[in-house]
Amino acid sequence: MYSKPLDKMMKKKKVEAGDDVRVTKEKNSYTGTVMPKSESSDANILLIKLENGYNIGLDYNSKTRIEKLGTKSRLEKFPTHAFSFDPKKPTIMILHTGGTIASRVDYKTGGVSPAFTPEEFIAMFPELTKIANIKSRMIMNIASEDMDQTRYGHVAREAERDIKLGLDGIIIGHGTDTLHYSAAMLSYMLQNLPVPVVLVGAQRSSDRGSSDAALNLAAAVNFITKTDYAGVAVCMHENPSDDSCLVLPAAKLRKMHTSRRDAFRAVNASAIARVESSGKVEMIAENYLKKDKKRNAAVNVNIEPKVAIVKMYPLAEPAILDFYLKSGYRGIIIEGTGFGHVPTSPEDPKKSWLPAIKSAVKAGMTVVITSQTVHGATNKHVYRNLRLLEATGVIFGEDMTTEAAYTKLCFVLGNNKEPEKIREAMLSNIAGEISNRRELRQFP
Amino acid sequence: MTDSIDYQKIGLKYGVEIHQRLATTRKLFCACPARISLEQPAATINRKLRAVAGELGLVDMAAAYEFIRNRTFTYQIFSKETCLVDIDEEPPHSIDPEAVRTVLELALLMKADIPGEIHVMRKTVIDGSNTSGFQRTAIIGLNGVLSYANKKIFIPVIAVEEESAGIVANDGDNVTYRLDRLGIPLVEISTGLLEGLAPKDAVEIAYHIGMLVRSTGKVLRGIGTIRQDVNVSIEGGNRVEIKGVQTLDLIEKAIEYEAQRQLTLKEIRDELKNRGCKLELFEKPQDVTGIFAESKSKFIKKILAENNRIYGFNLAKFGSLLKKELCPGKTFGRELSEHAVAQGVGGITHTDEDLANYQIDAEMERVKAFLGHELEDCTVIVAGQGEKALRACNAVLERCKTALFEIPREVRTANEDGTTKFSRPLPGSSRLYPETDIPPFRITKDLIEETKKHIPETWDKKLGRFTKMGLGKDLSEHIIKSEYLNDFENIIKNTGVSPKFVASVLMSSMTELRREGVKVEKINEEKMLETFRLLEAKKIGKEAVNEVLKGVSKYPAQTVEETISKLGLKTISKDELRAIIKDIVHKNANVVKKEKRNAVKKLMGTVMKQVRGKIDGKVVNEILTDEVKKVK
Repeated sequence: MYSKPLDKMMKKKKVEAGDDVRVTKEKNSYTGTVMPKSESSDANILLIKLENGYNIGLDYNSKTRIEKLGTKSRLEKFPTHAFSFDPKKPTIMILHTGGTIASRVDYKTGGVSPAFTPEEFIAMFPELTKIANIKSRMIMNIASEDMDQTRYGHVAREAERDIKLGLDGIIIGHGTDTLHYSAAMLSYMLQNLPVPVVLVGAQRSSDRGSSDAALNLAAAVNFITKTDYAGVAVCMHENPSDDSCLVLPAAKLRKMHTSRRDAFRAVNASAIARVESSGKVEMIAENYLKKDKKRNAAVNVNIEPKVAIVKMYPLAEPAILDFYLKSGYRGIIIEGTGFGHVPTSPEDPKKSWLPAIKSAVKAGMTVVITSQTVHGATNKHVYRNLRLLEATGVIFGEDMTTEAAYTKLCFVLGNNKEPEKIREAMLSNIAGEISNRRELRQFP
Repeated sequence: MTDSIDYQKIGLKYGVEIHQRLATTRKLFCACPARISLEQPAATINRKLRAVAGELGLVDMAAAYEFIRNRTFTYQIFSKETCLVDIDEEPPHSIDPEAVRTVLELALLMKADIPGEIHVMRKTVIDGSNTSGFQRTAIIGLNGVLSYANKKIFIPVIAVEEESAGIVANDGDNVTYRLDRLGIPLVEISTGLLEGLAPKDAVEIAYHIGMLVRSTGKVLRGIGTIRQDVNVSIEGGNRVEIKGVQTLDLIEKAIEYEAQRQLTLKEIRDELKNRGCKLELFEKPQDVTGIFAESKSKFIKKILAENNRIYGFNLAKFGSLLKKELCPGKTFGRELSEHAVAQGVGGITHTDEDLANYQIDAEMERVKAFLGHELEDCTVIVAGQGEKALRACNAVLERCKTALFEIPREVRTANEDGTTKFSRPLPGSSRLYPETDIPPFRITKDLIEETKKHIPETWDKKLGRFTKMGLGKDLSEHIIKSEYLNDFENIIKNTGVSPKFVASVLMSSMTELRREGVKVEKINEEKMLETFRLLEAKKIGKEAVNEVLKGVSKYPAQTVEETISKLGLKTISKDELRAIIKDIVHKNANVVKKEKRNAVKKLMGTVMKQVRGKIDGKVVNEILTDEVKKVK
C-alpha cells in the first residue's frame, strides 16, 4: 500500500502501474514507467522504471509533481507458442501445478510467484518440441507448500485422464519444497501405470537465463521417449553443472538443500537413470515396471488427512500426543532419533513416551516409526529401549523416509479401518518405498 | 587521415564510462572476500544459459543472440573466494552496505540526486560472464556533475554493480571463466553523450573520474581493476559501445577510429545505394563443397580432411567494397569476417582479397560462375562444420543487408592498438529487470548526512597534508596520482615508519623492481602493509625491504613472515651477530694477527656476505672492530 498522500495523488492523476509519467522533484524531473508497488518497498516511495531500464524509488512529498504522459499496457506480455502436432513423434502432456518451474517475477510481493500460461511456458522451451509433441495444461497454480488432500486427488485424476487418452507420458511441473511428498503420494495413488509420470521442478525460476528448468524438462522428455520405464519418478539435476539429470525413485528421495539445483537425493536407494544434456539416457535400475500402453492403471485417490509427523528431541514431552488424540488424528509418524528412539527415561517415567504411545495405539491410532537421520533403516532389536517401544504396538517403518511413510499412512488409512490390515499394508512395499538392502554407494 | 576529420562537422558524440573495483571487505552480494585468488581453482562446473523475457515481456536482442550461439560455460571455483551465491546455487545476500556507502560518497561528491530507495536490477548478460545470466546493478546517484579546471561534465548515472567473472579461455563453443572476480563491487560512472568535444578531451575526462574515484581511498589498484568503455556516434551513424579500453591514452584513438569507421560505413552505404543494391538482390548461401573436392590448396585440404563443408554466396553490387579500410589495418571484409568468427568458424574468404595466398583461384572462378557472379559483385565462401558454417554465412549476410541502411548499434571490444572488433548487438533497456531476491535499500537522510561527513578530502587538501609530512610538492603529487596512494595512506596510518621512507619505497623501489621484471602487481595492499609492519617491529631491516618485496611477489601464496624466513632475511640480534663475527675472526686469525686494525676492512666483506639485509652495517662495523681488538 502506498502512503495516503501518494495514493491520493496517484488517484487524482489517474496514474496506474504501466503508465508513463514525469515526476518532478525540486530542480530535477524523471521520466519513466510506473512499476507496481512492491511490498518490500517503503509506502512513500513511487517506483519508476527509467528510460535506461533501471528502477529507482522516488521519495514522495508535497513538493513532488507527478504528470501522466501516457497509458501503456506494456506490462506482462510474453511470447507465446502455437501447438503443432507430428504423428511420428510421441506425445507428452505437461501438467502445471505451479511452483518455481512455472514462475516469474511478481511485482505484488516483489518475489517470484507462479504465473505463466501454458502457451507462454512452451514458448520458453521450444527445443522440447523437437523431441516430442508437447501438450501443456495448467491444472492448478499454487506454491507446493499449499498442497492438500483434494489437490493430491486432483493431480492424480488429471494424470489418469491423459493416460487414458493414450499419451506416451505425463510430466508434472511441481514446486520443489514438497515435491518429494507429492511424488510418494502419486506413486501410491497411481499404481500399475502403463506409461511414466515424471515430476519435474526447478530451483531457479524459468524467467532466469540460468534456470535449471530447461534441462530438467528436456531430460524428463528424453527419459519418457527413450526408455521403457512406466511408473512415477522425479527428474532433477545430478550436480550443480548443466551436464546431466537423475531420474529418481518417487517414494525414495528427499529435498536435501534449500537452494542447490541438485537438492534432490535418493535415500536408501539409487537413481533409476541418468540423462545427459546431449539427450543420452543411461538406465541404472534393473527391475522396474515396463511400459505397456494396453495396461490399465489402478487409481485410488482416497486419503486420510488426519495424519501428523512428530519429531523426537531430547526434551520432547509425551503430552504432545494428547493434542493429536483429542483432535481426532488417526495416524502419527514419529520421527525418532537414531534407529527410531523416543525418550524412554526409566528414572522418571513422566518423561517417557512409552505410556503415551501405548494408550494412543490402544485408542486406535496408528503410530509409525521413522528415523530423523534420513539415511539408513530403523531397527527394533538393537537396544532395549527399541524393544520396549516395539512392545507398545508401534509399526517400525523399515527404511522408509519420513515423507514416504507419512504419505503412505494417509493413503493406507484412507482405504483401511482394521489395525491388522493397516499394519500389513504399511509393511508391504507398494511403490518401492521400502527396500531390504542398502548399498555402500547410496550414502552420502 | 584522422587529422583531417572535423569532429564538429561530422557531429561526433561520445560518452565515457568508468568501472572501478572497490576495496570492500566482502563481495557485493555474498560474504566472500572481494579479491582475486592466488591459488589454483579447486573445482569446475559447466553451465548453459538461455535468453529470457524481461519484465516488459521482450526477449532482449543481445541476449537472444548469445543464446543462438549455443555455447557452454565452464566456471572455475576457488575454495576461499567462491561460494554458492557465486555459482547461482544460493540467493544473493543483501547488498554490501560498505559498497553502497562508498558509491554514495562519490555520488555526493558529484552533487548527484540520491533516490529514496535503491533497487537492485538484473541486467541480462548471457555471454556467460555471470553465472546467473544477469549482472546485478543499482543506481545510487543521478544527474551529477564532474568539475575540474573550470569544466563541468554532466554525469547522468552513478551506479554500483557486481564485477563479472574473468575469462580464462575461449574455444568458440566453450568459454572458461574464473569466479573469484565475480561479485566484487564496482562503481560505474558514466557521462552522457557529450557533444562538441574532441577525442582527446575524453582522456582528460576519464583521468579526472579516475582521480575522483581514487580519492575515496576505497578502490583496488592494479591491472584490470579499472576499465574504460566509450560510446561513440556520429551524425547519421549510430551508437557503438566500445568495451575494455585498456589505457587512458587509447581512449582518444578508440574514439577517432570509431568516428572514422562510421564515416567509411556511411560511404559504403551511399555507394551501395548508387550502385542500386537492394534487399531483393540477396541470395541464400549454397553448399559449394563439391567444387573444392579436387583442390590442391593446403588450406582447403585441411578443411575437407576435418569433414567440414564450404558454403558460398554472392554479394550483388558489393564488389571492391570489402577491400575498403574502415580504420587503419581493418577492412570491411575483415569486419564481416568477425561476424562469421562469432559463430564459431575461422572467418571468410572473398573475391576482394588476394586469393593467390590460398591457391584457390581456379576453384573460386567456378564458384563465381555457379553463383552467377557479375562484375560489380563480391563472392564469399565460409568453411566449417555444416551448421556452424551456415550460421556464419547468415550472420555475414545479415550484416551486409544492414549495410544498405544503417550503421548497426553494437558492442565492440577494444584491441590493444585502439581498433575494435565486433562483440554483439547493443543490448536494449529491456535487458533490465528487478532483482526480486534483494529487498530495496532505503537511503535515509541520516545516512546521507553521515556519509557527507566522510566525503573524501580534495586533491588540494591532500597535497597540503603530504607536504606537511616533509615530502616535497613533487613527491606528494606523484603519490596522489600513483596507484599506490591507498598503500601510502594505509601504511602511514597503521605504522610509525617515516613517510619519506614509505614514499621512496612505493615510488622509486617499486618502479625499479618492475623494471627488473619483478611481478609487483602480485604484492597486494595487505602484504605491503605487513612488510612495513615487520620493518617497524625490527623483524627486517630497511635495507632488506626491496628483497622482501621481491620475495612477496614471487611467493604470493605465503605470508610475508614465511617469505622472510624462506629467504633468510630475518634480522639477527647483536648476540647472534657477535657469534658470527667471532667465528669469522677465529677462522681468519692469521689475517687479524698480521693486519691488526686493518683486518676490519678486509673482513667486513666476508661478514656482510652473511648478514646483509639482516642488520645495520654500522652495528656490524662496531662489533667487528671490537672483536678484532680482542685478538691479541
